[in-house]
Amino acid sequence: MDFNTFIEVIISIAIVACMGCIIKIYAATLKMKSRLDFNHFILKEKLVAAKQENSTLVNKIVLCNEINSKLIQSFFDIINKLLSLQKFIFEKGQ
Amino acid sequence: MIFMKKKLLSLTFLLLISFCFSQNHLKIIDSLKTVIFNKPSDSIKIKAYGDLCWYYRSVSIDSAFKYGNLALKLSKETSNQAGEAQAYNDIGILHYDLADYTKALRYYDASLKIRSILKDTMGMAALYNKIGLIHQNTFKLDSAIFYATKALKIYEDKNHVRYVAYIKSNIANIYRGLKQYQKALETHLEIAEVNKSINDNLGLTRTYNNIANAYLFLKDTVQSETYYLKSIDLALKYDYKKELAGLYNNYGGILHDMKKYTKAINYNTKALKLREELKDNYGITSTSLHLAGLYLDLGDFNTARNYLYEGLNLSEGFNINELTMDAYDKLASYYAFKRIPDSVLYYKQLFKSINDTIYNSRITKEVAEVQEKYNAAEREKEIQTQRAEIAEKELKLNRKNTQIIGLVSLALLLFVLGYLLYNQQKLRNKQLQKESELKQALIEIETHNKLQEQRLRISRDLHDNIGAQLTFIISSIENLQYGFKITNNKLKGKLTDISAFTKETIYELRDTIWAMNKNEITLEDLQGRISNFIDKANVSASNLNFSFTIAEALSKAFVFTSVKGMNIYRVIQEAVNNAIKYAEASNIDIQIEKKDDNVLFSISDDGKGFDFNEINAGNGLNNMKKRATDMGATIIYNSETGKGTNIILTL
Repeated sequence: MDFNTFIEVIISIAIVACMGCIIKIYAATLKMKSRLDFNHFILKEKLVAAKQENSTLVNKIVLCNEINSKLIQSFFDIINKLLSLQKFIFEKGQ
Repeated sequence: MIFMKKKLLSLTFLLLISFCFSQNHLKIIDSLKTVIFNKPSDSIKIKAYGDLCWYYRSVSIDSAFKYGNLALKLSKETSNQAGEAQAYNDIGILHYDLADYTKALRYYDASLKIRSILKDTMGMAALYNKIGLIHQNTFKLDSAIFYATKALKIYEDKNHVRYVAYIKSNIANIYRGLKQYQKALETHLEIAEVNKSINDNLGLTRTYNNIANAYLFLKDTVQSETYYLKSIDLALKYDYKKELAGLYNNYGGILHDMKKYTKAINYNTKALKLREELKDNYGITSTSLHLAGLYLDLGDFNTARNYLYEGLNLSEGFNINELTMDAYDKLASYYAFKRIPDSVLYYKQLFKSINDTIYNSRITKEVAEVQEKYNAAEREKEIQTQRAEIAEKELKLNRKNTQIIGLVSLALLLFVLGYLLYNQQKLRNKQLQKESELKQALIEIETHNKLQEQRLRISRDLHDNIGAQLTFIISSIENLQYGFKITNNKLKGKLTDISAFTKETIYELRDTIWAMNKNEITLEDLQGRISNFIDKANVSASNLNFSFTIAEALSKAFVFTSVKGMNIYRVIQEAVNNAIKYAEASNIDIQIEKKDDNVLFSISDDGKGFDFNEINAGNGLNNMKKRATDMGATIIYNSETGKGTNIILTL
């Protein structure tokens, strides 16, 4: 085998190997992209669900805050009314 | 007899190369000069120069050369290859006419090269024919047959019957040169039929001449004479002067052989006259010597002498060795008749000398040809070696090119490979970064949710605790009211007021807890809650008529957020409470309906109504407005004193 033939054989093998590598890398890239896209999709779904839950919780907190302020106010009003009643009973008893 | 045959051959060749002779050449020349004078385009000028060269051929050979060279020069200057090929062809013909066959061949070769490039097959065929004629004239009959066959093949492919006949005629003449007279005769007879079929009278005239010659060589003088006469008739009929001159000369030769001297002299004189008219120097010389021979045989030595010296002068003047040799031979005979041995010896020596010259010249030419052939073979060998070397170099070059292409392809593939790896890594990083961002956001939101849930749990504990305490207060008050007979109205009123206020607080707490326990509130949920409220209101205000309707177009599964649902419920509750407390109404109507894409909540009463400008909007109206604003809805109060009130909440 002369030098030129040897070179040609080497180049041919290198070309074939390169083409094989390209195909393998391309396939691996596609597979990886598909896996990462799936993970991405799952995370997005979880995030959407968490946001929905958050929205529900915020609504509940809003309601809670509303009733709390009203409830405390009413509670003090009742206590005042009871104290007023107590005062009235004391005055009547004396 | 040998000279006679040679003369016949030469004459026939001359006949064959003469095309389209006309008496009006000078007129045509004038008109062509007018065309050039009008400064036409270069291509037309080249054509005119070429035509002038052609027409001057029979008038003035020098002028013909001048215009031929002008055509060649202009063609070269304007890169007009077709014109250049035609000019080479025309100049070659002029050299042929002068019997300068070496130069003629050179010009024909130059023309052939260009026409080969231009793929002008018809032009090539014409050149092959002319080259064949040169070889025929120089007795290289194998080459003559080779070129004539090449021309014949092209004309046959193109189906040019007339030209096929011409070429066949030439080939037949070559056969005659090869002494295959019978074959030559058969071919000429065949051509004559073709000439007749295509009405080619000029061709037929020449063919009859050739047939007559062939019969002559076959020693059939009767048939030969018949065909000469046929040919002469045709030439006379169509006025083919050049052919007629040759025919008269040839026929005269036969008559000479038949010893019909007077008749022969008559025809040869006619031939001489025509040739002088045509300025055919070769013909004039040949016929003069022919007449000299006739007069010698007749014994008219003086006339013979005149023709002999005239012929000798012409042949020497035009350097026609063959005819000069003939003149010397006839002069030797003349002086023999005159019994002057010194002169006989002198002309015999001259004859021998010129004969040797011609013979040597032929030998030299043949040696040169052999040398040329040897050189050509050597050159061919050298060319073959060079071709082999070139082929080897080409092979090596191709191999190197293949290797370079392979290396470039490899480099490209490596680049693609690198790019793919880089792209893969980039994609991975990008996706991981996105994933990380999403995870971070998810963690944050989940933490926030947990915190909110914790807050809600604490709030629920608080609500449960407060709810229990409020229930205890209500229970204690009710026990007090029923356990002790309370007669003090003020005390009784205070207890009732505390009990009612506490109950109302508990109801509000329950309503809110109801909303809080739901992630979302459907229209159906809202309907149930409003119905409960109406029922309770109906108990406390039994003189009022309540009506509650939901439009059928509204889906019961219509969904609101818990805050929105609570706000809607509170607005309706507030509106109904206002109607009960302040409006003195007898009918309260609650309607939920759909208008366009909106949901309308309408609360109407037929109470005393109010003027919005006259009353102070208390917490009730403001609360309703605030809640509507919070949930992005609009609220409209329609009321007029004495005409009831209508509140519309549009969502």
